[in-house]
Amino acid sequence: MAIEPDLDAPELFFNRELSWLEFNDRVLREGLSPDVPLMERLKFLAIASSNLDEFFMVRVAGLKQQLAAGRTARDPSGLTPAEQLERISRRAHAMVAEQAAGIREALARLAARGLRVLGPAEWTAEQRSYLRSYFASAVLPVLTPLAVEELQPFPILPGLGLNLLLGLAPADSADAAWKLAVVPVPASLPRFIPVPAAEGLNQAVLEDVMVEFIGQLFPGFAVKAATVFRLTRDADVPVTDDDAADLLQLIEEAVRSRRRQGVVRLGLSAHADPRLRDWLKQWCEVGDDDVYEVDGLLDAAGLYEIVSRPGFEALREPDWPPQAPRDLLGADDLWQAVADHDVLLFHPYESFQPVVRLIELAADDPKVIAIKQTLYRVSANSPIVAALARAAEQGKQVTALVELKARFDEARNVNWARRLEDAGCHVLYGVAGLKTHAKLLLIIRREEHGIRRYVHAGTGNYNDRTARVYSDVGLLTADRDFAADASAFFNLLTGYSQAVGWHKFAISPTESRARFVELIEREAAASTPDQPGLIMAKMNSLEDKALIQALYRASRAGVRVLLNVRGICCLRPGVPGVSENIEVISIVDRYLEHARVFYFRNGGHEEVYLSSADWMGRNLDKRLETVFPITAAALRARLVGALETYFSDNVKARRLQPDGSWAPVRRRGKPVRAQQKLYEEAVEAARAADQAPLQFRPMTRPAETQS
Amino acid sequence: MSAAENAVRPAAEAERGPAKVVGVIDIGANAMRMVIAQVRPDGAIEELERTQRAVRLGHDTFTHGRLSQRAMNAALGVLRDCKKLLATYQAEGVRAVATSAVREAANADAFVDRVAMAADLDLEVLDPAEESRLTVSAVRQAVQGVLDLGQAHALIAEVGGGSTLLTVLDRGAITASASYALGSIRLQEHLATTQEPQARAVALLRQQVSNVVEAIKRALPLGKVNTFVAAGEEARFAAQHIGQAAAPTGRVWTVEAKPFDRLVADCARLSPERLSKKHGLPLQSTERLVPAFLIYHALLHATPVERMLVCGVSMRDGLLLDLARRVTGADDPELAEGVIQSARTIGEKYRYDAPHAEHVAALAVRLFDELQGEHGLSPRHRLLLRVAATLHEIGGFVSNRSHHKHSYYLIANSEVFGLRREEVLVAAHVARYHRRAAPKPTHLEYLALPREDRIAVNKLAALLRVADALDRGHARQVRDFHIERPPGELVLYVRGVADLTVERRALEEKGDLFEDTYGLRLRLEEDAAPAPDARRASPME
Repeated sequence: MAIEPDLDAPELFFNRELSWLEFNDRVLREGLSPDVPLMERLKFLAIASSNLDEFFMVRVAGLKQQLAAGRTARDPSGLTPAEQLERISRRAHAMVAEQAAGIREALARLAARGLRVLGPAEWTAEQRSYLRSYFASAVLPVLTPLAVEELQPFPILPGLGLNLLLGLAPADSADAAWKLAVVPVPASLPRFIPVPAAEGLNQAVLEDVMVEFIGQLFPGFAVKAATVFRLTRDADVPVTDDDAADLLQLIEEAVRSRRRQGVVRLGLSAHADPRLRDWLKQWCEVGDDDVYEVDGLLDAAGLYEIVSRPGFEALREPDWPPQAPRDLLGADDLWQAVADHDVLLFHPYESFQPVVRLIELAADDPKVIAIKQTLYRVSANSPIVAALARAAEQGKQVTALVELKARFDEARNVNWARRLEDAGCHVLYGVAGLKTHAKLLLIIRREEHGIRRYVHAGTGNYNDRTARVYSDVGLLTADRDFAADASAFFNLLTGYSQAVGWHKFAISPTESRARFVELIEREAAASTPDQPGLIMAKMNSLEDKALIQALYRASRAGVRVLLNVRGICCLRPGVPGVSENIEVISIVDRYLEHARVFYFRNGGHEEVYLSSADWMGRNLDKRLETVFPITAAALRARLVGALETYFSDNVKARRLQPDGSWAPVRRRGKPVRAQQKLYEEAVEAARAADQAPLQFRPMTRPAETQS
Repeated sequence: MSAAENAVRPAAEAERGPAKVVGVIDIGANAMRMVIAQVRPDGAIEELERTQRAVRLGHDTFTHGRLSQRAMNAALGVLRDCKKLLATYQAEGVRAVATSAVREAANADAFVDRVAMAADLDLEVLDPAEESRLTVSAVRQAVQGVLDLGQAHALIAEVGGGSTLLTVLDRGAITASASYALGSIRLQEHLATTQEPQARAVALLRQQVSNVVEAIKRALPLGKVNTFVAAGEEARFAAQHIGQAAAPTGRVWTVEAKPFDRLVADCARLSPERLSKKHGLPLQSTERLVPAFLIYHALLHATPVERMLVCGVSMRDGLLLDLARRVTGADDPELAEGVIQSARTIGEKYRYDAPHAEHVAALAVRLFDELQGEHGLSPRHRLLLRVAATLHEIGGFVSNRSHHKHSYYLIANSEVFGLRREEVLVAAHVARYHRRAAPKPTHLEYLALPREDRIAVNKLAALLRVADALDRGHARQVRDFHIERPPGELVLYVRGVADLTVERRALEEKGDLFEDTYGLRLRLEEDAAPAPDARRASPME
């Protein structure tokens, strides 16, 4: 018997922040890849940028808070907060430099295709004069210069906006001390300004235009030096809801206070005047590690503006319109279809529309007596929110759990919440101390033969917009056990009941982890050399130490563990005697991989679970989440097929190496791009249904027409 | 409605009509629980919602003898939430019941009243016999196909927060049922064990349990038991840990005595806090675990049985079955048999004349059925008449003088398995009026009955008096009769009796109430000719 390895050893874990940076690097790789259409590359470059913003606002800010509080506790990988910050800074600096180079390169290629972003040096005289008058007429009137007489107090500038810092001197005296001025770049103006040109689309960048002509704002002064800068503030404002009389108000205050939080990152143009750089550093109270000089666009998220310009179709991925869901093909009555059999929805390959439609139908259906739903992140002008409001206005009992604490969506969520309340919905603002992350919809319908309840449970938010780009799985069912569990879950949320035991669900924060550990251990216990166990798991992040250790033990027991982890992965694969049976891949492609699907071979009695929770401490301990099995064999088979497709990807997949790097999967054979294959399968299923031979549906034996 | 929607629905289902939604609320010693279910026309029960909230009413009652304002307010808040959920489903029938924690509280009536005012619920305070009946009814259903209760000497035990309900079933018939002040919350409160170190607390609990179980051994024939059935939350916890599933429904398990001994010992070593951590249960649950385990354990070892059959059902399931029967209109024959058996057991205790009692009961029920159109009473009343007839003369045990009055209070103070308190009182009154004076405004106990019950007492007592008159000689002469109903009259043609003088005289004495109540003159005639087939019936069933 081999010596039992110490499964707490720090070398068995990757640091979660550094692992996240590697994820962002994979996004960046897509932005740099010559195999990716240009417009899509810009999108990935923009995403890498906004991802990084959020990372600094939350994670880096959190570490800095820990540091400030004098914490020196080590994470599972053995790093102190100070050590983590130091490594993050090093990695992020390299990333930002690579990203800036990538943007320059992509823009140069774009220029060759007729879409040019011109620097001031490239402006023609004609363009220059056009921009001067544009500045005077469109920009100047909305500028609000903030003169900084003394160094203190520094003006309160919101995070993530662009600003100019100017060193000004009286025009008539060459060596007088500079006066400083800050001019915020108006967020209301287009970042890219089309300029007259002989051919193609030529654009200037707003902050360049401002730097060039800002002198107009300060008559009598000369602009001695100018730089663009951008602050990232701590957004990790804790909302203590344990004793919140008015959570809505509390959240609004928290959102406001983000503007005044400490600066965690200072971004500024490369080659800025050292004096301006030093002043900024001092004002923001940041060290050299927190200063990011960018040779090019600060805030690359602005590239979205270019990406969303119409045209240039040759530079984009072909459109993949969502298909009619396979399990609903030919069904003209949604209620009946769901009552007949469970329905699997695989977005965005399959349309999210049936979910929206179900809620809209429910709102107007006299048979529906109640609707209960969790809302975590909803879209602007969400049709779901509108339908819920309408249902309440028509006298149905509507219970909506609006999770106000969904980060960065708080302000928007407060608005929806008010709107639903006004319509007469019973709106709950989450549960004290826990974020409600579960995605659950329950519709209670009084039918001819009694009550029937319809449940939608899924891995994605009730957001019709993100359902176009997030890959998620949902289940529609009228199964009684599911309905009873969904009811019980809402009773738990509304305080009508304590937990009373579940038929099919396992929920966080109470059971999810234990259930998953149990499933992993069962697999390990049943694994034999002849019949090794198999676990396939797909999730966004794998960070929970207990689950990672359970997987190590399973690997040691001979279980083959295939993990498809899009983001953070703290598990170290390929360690002899610990994790040599574990393979971790990650797929970053046009759709954001967001589904959480878990497969256990279970000695041939295969089980598949969906979950709203990732395998992260926060999901398992601090959130209300649901884990539930897929019991219909056909649906289970589809999910197993999808999992296998991901693991067969050799185009977009990257594999985690024992050293923590991610290498492209090189597998011989024909190329498999999982997302494309899944889409083609959805198209094929829909087409097959369309081309089904004309068939009469005899009214006397109708059951035969149902699949 | 679209053609397709109609089309795919199985035809059989369409004919059966809609299911009805019902709810039961149970206010226990440590929690308030509700089940909302729909009952299909065929009696199938589909559970829709199950809720539970910790409200420890038992704490107040078992330590201070009354419910505190705080606990009452908490309970009312929960009941209002229950009402909201019930309203969602537009529930048609709701039964709210309370057990020992309310029953034993000095201010129970005030609480019942507040429930009626604030939550608009008619709260029924169950007596132990009714509690047992409900549990047994649920157990009977759950063990179908697993255990033939008709062949067993079974002890059914449910340990609650306030009391332990024990029922003895002899080949399917209930022969004894009793409630003992032995509950998981009550034990803790009495012994204040929560303040004691673990080992000492467990020793105290064991001692107390063993005292009560000794008393139970003297009262119930535990030695004959060959099947031990445990219901209740903690029994289910044990079953889920060490039990073997005995039924595919997942509601019945067998738990062997040896592993159970070990589980009890293991749990007893741990404090509620550590148990809570170990099993991921709320502290309120683990505090009750060890006291309840000790009770089951002591009871199991007081029988010669080597295993428990754990039933994952409770009194609430029995309440649901009751409501379901109300929906489908079905009666529970086993239940009725249990009630009658229980009445006989009481009769034996007071050395009744069993043949006479049975005979009168049969005659009374026969009359009840004949006059269904006149009295319009329910099958339940038929059962009460039967109980009253069975026990009408037990007062003779005390003294023959005014024995009807003795019968009244003996019955009124008995627990008849399966009957609610109010029902026992009705039966007691019916027995009281089997002779001598008819109900009068000077009879205070009678006046205290609700109006509907007074009417029922009149109608039933009138029948019992006639039946009793027909067996005046205790000789069971009148066995076979048929009835004819010329206008304004009811004529009993009695076959095979040559001389009805004694019976006629008795009827003159006792028929007054009948004539007043039913407005029919009663006549007794010898029937020389054989009765027509259609009319022939023996009162002996």
